[in-house]
Amino acid sequence: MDIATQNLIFSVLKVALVIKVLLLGVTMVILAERRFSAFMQDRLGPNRTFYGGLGQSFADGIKLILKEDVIPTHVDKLTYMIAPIVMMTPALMTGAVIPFGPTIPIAGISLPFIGENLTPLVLQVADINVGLLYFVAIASIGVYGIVMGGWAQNNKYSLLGALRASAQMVSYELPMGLALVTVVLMSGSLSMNEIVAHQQETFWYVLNFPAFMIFLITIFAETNRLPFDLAECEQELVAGYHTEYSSMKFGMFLLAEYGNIITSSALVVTLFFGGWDIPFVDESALGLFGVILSMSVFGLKTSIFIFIFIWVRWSLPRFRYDQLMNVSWKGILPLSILTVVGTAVIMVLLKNFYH
Amino acid sequence: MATKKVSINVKSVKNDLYLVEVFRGLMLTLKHFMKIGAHAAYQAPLERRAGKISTNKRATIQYPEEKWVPYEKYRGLHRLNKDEQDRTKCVACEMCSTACPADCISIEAERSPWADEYPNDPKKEKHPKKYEIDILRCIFCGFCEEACPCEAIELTEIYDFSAYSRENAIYDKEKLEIVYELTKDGKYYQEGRSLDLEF
Amino acid sequence: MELVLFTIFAVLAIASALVVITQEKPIYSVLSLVVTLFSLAGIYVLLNAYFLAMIQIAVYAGAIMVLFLFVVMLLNLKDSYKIPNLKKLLGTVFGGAIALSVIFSFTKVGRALVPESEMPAGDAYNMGILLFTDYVFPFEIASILLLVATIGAIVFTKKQLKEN
Repeated sequence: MDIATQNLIFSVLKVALVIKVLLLGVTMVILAERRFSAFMQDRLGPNRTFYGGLGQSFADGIKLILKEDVIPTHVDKLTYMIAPIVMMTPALMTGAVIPFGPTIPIAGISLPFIGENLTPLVLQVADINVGLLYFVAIASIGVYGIVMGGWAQNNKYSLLGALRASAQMVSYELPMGLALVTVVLMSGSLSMNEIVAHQQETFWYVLNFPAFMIFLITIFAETNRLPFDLAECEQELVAGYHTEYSSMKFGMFLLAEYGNIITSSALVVTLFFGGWDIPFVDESALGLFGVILSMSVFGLKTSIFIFIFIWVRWSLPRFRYDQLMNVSWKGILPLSILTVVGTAVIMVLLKNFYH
Repeated sequence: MATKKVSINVKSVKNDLYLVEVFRGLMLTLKHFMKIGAHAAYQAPLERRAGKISTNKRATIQYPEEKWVPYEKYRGLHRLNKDEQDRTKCVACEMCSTACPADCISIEAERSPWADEYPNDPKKEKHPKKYEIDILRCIFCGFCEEACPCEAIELTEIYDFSAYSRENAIYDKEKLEIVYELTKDGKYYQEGRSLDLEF
Repeated sequence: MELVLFTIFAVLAIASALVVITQEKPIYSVLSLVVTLFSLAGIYVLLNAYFLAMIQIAVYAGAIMVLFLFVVMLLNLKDSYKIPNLKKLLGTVFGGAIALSVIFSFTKVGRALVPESEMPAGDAYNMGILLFTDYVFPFEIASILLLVATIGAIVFTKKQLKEN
């Protein structure tokens, strides 16, 4: 078999794996959110369906699918139908550039059905050299689902939610971009794989703590999670952009939100916590076991950040709209510019010092 | 109660930084998470396997297994009291149905079988042939209880009652007397009884 | 394979661009403009210019079009808006000028004006080197243009504030 066919087979397998993990992960994250939030409020949460409530999300999913799909008469049908898809797609697309394990050196080894392998297997769906920019691009189009959904429903609460979401996205993309610039300054590359490799060789970028904090805060804003969930803000806007959605269309908004949480957590881990890197351990010496271990460590790190997402949501109150804008434009943006300049200076000094 | 005046300096550096207070809030929720989560994850399954219901620390009541015990003056399902000779106390005076704001009590009176035994006692002269409370209309205000001159109708602590049809939601004399038997010692929930009426 | 993808993206780009100018609802125009930008990004990817494609989506589709949407939704424009004749005339003149200059840039004379580069396009490194060496003049001119536009916008708002 030639290289192209082999790559195609492996790509399809990897895409299937990533989407499976994301969708299954979403059900688990939803359950985790419901139970963890319950614990934080001295409650128990859903614990009846299947062992300790493990089946709750599946039961809810079945319920959502079987429910009547109400389309109100006053909506703009086309945008109303497209919005959940537009919401869902970016949430899954980000997973394409995240490396979830070390490269498996299977070149030259023959496998059943495939024959002799010609290339090593990269555990990343698309190893493009501008992975970081790809993330920025996909993150920035995530807002279209909200805006389209909010506008299509033709009611003022949803529209206000959409307006808030778009303004918020534009304001928080700048500091996020600058935080990513610091990452690029440190790694010297836009490729996710090289960023992870560089962290393995040198240090985890979380040592640049301001950049990490800025990125974490902006990623909360980008995923529309508390304390930045002004777009859906129950007390003021009913449910914001998904007020008049029902059945699986509503379910897709939910899936997109939690899919975003998973990919964002994976991204934070990749950019600042060394991705699949296990500190002080040489994974390549452990062979296949090392690969599995690295993947598990990546999963563990991601889970920790998913927990932080949930934890923050159930602890902090929502910002007021003007506070949100002030925090972004007057607080985080100057800080992130300062961080970029500082990082650049330090990197130049380090280079001159060592070389 | 005297109000205690607390002065909060909103414009302090600490509040402007915001992160300090954020961290405090996060720690508080983490504390609760650890407490309840650890209990739910380890202790509770063990106790459940041992056949016990663990009630430690949490606010949730796991309903069918454990039940909330109402406080003393809770107004739940009605009952019709009986006297020492096991006769209904009700004299069918219709004071309760007159007092009822939801108009859910309907009574038909007749000469009681034991009226001849007490020729001079007006309280023994009548008894209800039919005594029906439409639970679907009742608002559980307790006016019937207050209006009753002979303490015949009372509201009990039972809150978990239901019916599969509207007809079954009408409680007649027999049902109300079954409720009386179940609740006369006031230990309905402590003893873990349940209302098993023919629905 | 590449030809098929190119055809899809090109047709999509042209079709959605036509929708932008024919559609009566402003919000549909904005959304189909987003589709145009996306198909352009797809064509860039086919040219191996990943960097350009990603920047295209992040800046145009992600930031600028969101701002457009914001304005359109906030102003709540009426569905059909009759364009005055003067504007039509001006639009034809300027649009024609832009079209002519695009066509001119494909002619031999036009091509000679821009320095040819032998560097392989695509990644951020080469792009940066090109931008800061061969194309530094257009780059700076573009940034000055943006600065002028920003100052102009601020002047406009100040004027309105004074009137009020």
